[in-house]
Amino acid sequence: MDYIYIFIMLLKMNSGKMIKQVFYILILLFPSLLSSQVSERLSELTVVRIKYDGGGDWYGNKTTLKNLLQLISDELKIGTTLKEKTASIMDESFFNYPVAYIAGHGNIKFSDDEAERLRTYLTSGGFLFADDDYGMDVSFRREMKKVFPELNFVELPFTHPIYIIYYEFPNGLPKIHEHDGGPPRGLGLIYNGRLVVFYSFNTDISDGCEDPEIHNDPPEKRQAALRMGLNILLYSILN
Amino acid sequence: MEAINQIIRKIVLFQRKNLVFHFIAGSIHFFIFFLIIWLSTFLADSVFYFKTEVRWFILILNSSLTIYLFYQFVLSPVIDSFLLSEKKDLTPVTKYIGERFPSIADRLTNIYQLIISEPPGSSSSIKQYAIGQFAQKVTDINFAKKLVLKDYFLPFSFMLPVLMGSIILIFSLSGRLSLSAKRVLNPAGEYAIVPWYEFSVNPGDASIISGESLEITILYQGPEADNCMFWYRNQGEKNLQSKVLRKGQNNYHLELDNIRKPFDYYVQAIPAFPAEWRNKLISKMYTIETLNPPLVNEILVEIQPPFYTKLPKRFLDLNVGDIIAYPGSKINISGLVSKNLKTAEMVFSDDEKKNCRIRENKFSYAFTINTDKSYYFNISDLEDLHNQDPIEYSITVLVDQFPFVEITEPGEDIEIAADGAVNLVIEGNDDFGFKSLNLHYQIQGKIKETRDSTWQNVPILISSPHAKHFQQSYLWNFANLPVSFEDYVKYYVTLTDNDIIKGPKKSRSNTYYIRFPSLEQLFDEFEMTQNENLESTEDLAKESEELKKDLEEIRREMKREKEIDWERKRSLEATIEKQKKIQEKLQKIEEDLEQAIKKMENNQLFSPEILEKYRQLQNLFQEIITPELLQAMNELQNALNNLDQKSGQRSVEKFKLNQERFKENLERTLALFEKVKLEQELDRMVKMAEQLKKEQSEISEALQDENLLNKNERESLLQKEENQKDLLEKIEKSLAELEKSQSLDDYPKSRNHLEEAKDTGSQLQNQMQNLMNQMSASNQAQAGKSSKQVGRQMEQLYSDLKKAQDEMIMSDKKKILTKMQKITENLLKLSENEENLVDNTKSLSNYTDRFPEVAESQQKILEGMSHVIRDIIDLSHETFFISPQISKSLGSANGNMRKSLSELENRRQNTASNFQRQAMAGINESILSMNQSMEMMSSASSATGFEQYLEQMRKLSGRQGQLNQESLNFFKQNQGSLSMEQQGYLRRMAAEQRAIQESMENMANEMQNRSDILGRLDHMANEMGEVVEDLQALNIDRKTIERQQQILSRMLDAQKSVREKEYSKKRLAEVGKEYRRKSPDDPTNMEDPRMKQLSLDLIRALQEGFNPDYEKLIEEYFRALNADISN
Repeated sequence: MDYIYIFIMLLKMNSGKMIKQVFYILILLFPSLLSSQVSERLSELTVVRIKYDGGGDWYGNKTTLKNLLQLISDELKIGTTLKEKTASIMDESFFNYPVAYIAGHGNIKFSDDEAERLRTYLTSGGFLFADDDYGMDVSFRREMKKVFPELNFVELPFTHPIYIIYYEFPNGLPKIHEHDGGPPRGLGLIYNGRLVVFYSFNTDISDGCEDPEIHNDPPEKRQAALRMGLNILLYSILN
Repeated sequence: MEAINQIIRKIVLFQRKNLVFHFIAGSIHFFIFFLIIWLSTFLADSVFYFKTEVRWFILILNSSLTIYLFYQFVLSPVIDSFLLSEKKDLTPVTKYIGERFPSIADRLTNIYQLIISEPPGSSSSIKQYAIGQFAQKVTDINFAKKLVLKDYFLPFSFMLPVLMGSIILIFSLSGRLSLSAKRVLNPAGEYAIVPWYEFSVNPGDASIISGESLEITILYQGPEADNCMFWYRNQGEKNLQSKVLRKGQNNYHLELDNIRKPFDYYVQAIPAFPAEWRNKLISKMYTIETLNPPLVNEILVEIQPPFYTKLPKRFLDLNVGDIIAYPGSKINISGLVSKNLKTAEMVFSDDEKKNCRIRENKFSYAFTINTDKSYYFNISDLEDLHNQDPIEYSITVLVDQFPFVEITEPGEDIEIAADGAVNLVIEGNDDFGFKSLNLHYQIQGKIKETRDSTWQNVPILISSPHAKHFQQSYLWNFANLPVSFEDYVKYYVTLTDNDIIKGPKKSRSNTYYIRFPSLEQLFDEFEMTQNENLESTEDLAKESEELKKDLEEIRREMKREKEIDWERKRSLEATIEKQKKIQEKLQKIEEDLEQAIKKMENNQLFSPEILEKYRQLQNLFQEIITPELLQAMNELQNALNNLDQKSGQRSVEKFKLNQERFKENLERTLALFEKVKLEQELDRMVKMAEQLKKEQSEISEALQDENLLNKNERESLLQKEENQKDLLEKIEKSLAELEKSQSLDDYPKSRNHLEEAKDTGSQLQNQMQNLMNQMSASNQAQAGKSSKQVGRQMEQLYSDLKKAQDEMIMSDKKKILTKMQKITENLLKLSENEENLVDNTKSLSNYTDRFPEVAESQQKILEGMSHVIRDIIDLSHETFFISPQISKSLGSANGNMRKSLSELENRRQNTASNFQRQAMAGINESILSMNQSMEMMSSASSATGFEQYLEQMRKLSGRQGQLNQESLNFFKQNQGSLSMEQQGYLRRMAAEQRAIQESMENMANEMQNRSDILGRLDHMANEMGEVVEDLQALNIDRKTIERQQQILSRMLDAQKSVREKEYSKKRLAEVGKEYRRKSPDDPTNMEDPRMKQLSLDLIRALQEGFNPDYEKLIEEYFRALNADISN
């Protein structure tokens, strides 16, 4: 409508009133620009936190996803919900979210139905970001074997796109917390050539992304964690 | 006339018949003479072997004779018969008739003459009259009838021998005669004289089954032959083929295999010489006919596995008859045959025969398999021919494997508190499914006489019994079992599968033990470990001190020398090595301590305060070895390697500095270690005193029973009292040790209480001895009174020890409060300073030069803030009452101060003052929070702050556990519709669950800020709400039970996590170090289509549903293939 108006105006205007007319046109254009900007942001990125059985604390790292989503929104200008969603694998809404997140310190357990559903989710385009808070490694690997019995976790090379898609990590995963000592490992499950699960082990990206006063990590560690988190989520939505 | 015609007709008829008989007899006579002439000729030739001229002569002669005889015997009567008519002169015939009929004799001839001629002077009437009279006379005579065929033949005595002889000659000498005939009939040819020979061929003409073999044996007699040839030709073909016959001793052989078509054959002897006999010595032609038996062309096998396996029906490939299936499988076999059938039966290897259903050329049969065997088909066609060499097929019965079960958690022998619980995780595998899972246990203990040591059996519900694999948790709560300290439980689980054909099979896990060590044992073990560790740490401190002196010496010497020589290098390296060894020993101490603490923690033998102290100690152990020290050691090593004097000196200085810090840390740790040991020992004594008084109370109760105790009971009580005495001695011993501790000097009031306890203890010794004497003397009444008195004294002992402990705690609490007050005072000062700064900043003009001065003031306040923040961080390690809110507010204030500084540097006073105001607000917030924390801590029983919540959680867990048990029992016993009473019971359980839920919700509200510690209590409360709804709806099912189990499991988990979460050295989130390494290999061979195919094949293989052992083998196989492809 605005373009029609501009056209009519151009036809009608004479040189003496040109500047004012142009100014009025711009004023009229502004709302439509704003609305189109808003409408772009209506399709928002959301990450769903998986609620699981087994006794582990799926509910920990309460500020991690909030901070990551905020960073994505600020840095990439991608609309995000700024608030995580929570669902168990069997919930109907689970499939509404393209990216899932799982973390904890304790035991994870999937039922047979959950394992099957998670497999369907991941092989249909979904992505899982798993982060070991320290203590979930054994049970997580065991349960993922139920989901993909034919696959084993492979360590991704430092040249993998997930390490360079936005921020560069030439040495792979940043080491946020010491845990067991030794280098961190970025592990993946690759299904039909596509990375469907990214598992950060022996580093604790989630803790690094929390509010600074919670773990009092050095600022550079927190920044590295947030940047790596951004890389992971960006990779998940682009692949 | 009529008479004349009649007579002539009679004569003609006679003659016709005569000629016919002549023809017949003549033909036979011709044949006989033909045989005589020619056979004799051939025989003569075969004997004399006539020359060509003679053969010609004989041929001509015989031929002429044959023609003549043919004319004479065969042709002549035929010609006469054609020429015969009434007009012809039949006078010879009349004569012949006259000879046959003597009554007529010549009269017929005379009459005939009269008929055919007119004699002179005859009267026609007399002629007529004579003819008429004769005719009348012969009217009834049939001249032809007189003729008899046998009169025409030569005597049988001649003909018969001739015929017989001819037949014999022909059959016996057929070969020779035929050769002679050939020679005689072809006199122009050249013929070798073929000697006599004979072939005797077995079987000659025969019929065999198609596909069979045939052995032909030939006996040859005649001229010597080099070999014999076998000539044959399949029927319908023109060409002859030959084989050389194998010569035996007296005969020739040939074996023909797999004869499918009929064929003709003869045998030829190949003479050594002369060559002219070569093609002469041949047998006659024989024929072998083939018969086709029925053939099974197709079979199709359908297998229906037994129902419980849930396997689908399947068909084997066409013509595959080998069956591999599970017992109880129904087999249906159908077959197609090459011909229509008369009979068909299945013959099994156990001699069982079963008739199949038949229709034309099809058959079928259905049966069930249970054992291994084999079978074949026996069929016959309408000509009663049976199938030859039927294929034997096998039936292999698969074994339904035994299930596999193992207890994966704890998966080893463990020790826990007698009222504790263990979460068993049981894993099971089977090829088809499960029937039941049972836990078997037996309690064994010190006091065997009063212990029920029979094996008990607890069924465990399997959540997915039809799956092939399960992982089942079972929370085993010992609070409800009659176990006490020093008992142990022996246990295992059994799993049965769902095989309904051969019966369920059972497997058993490994057997494990759960031991319930006594408090004493646990504490003794811990004390021993602790003492060892403390001694080791003291030794390390001494070694470190010596090392410090060595380093100082080295440093001084290095200052004097210009370069590092080999000797210096060696001594420095030795020093580094010593330091490394100290570090290694330290790590070992740390690990031992970790193990010991964990064990005590698992048995909940530490109070939260003690646990917190040990965690602090562990942190200190970790902080002893600083990264700077390690770096300094590395730098020194590098300098030594390069023999660089300057950098060597610097490195030694740095190393020395860090080593000193190491020593200081070590000593600080040692001091804390001693202090913690003191607190822990006091804590232990308090627990022992508590146990002492509790046991004594039970003894007093038993002694004061109205009924007299019997001998066994008295002895048991005496034993218990002796145990009490031992325990008291332990307490006294610990007291004596404790008094020596220098750390006790920091707690003078506690020391006083301990002195009082010591006095109480020594009084108790005498009293207990008296009591035991009275018990031994069976003076029950007096013993009861004494026991009560002893009990009171024990109360006093406990009270003294508890006061000593409380005093220690209060003292620590006061210290923390003092620190908090100091921090608060500092914060107030900072706030005041910041407020003043706000005014100062606001009053700045744009052109003043006071900006640097104001900025400097802000910088000072900022530094002060950093100190306060550091103090708060240190304090937060000691107490939970420093909430994250305080840190957050200070962090915000800190940030605002920095911003204000930046603005001041840019001469923006307004913005700067805004930031300062915000900073001040942040400081004030933190002061308020700090005050709140101090209030909370003052009213709390401990300085840590979460004991109260832990206690609440513990009580709620107990109630939940009890409710779970009631629900489970109800579920098991009551299925179907419920009575009013049962409904009421459910409603009562719903109310109890609701009450627990409300308590949980209240806790969640109270701990709003600290819900990270106890987990999401609100979520647990929500789940309880769902259980309440189920119970209120009178609906209790497996899901409800599982939900309740999960709630309890989470509650226990939350309790554990309270202790662990903040204290775990891992969860304190130690900042990660940098690690450099090579990038892992790129797993792009996952793009390899072979890999892709391999993955697909693996999925398919695993989905076949093989036995788990086979699945593991399959995975290994694919892994090996994977590695092969990768290489």
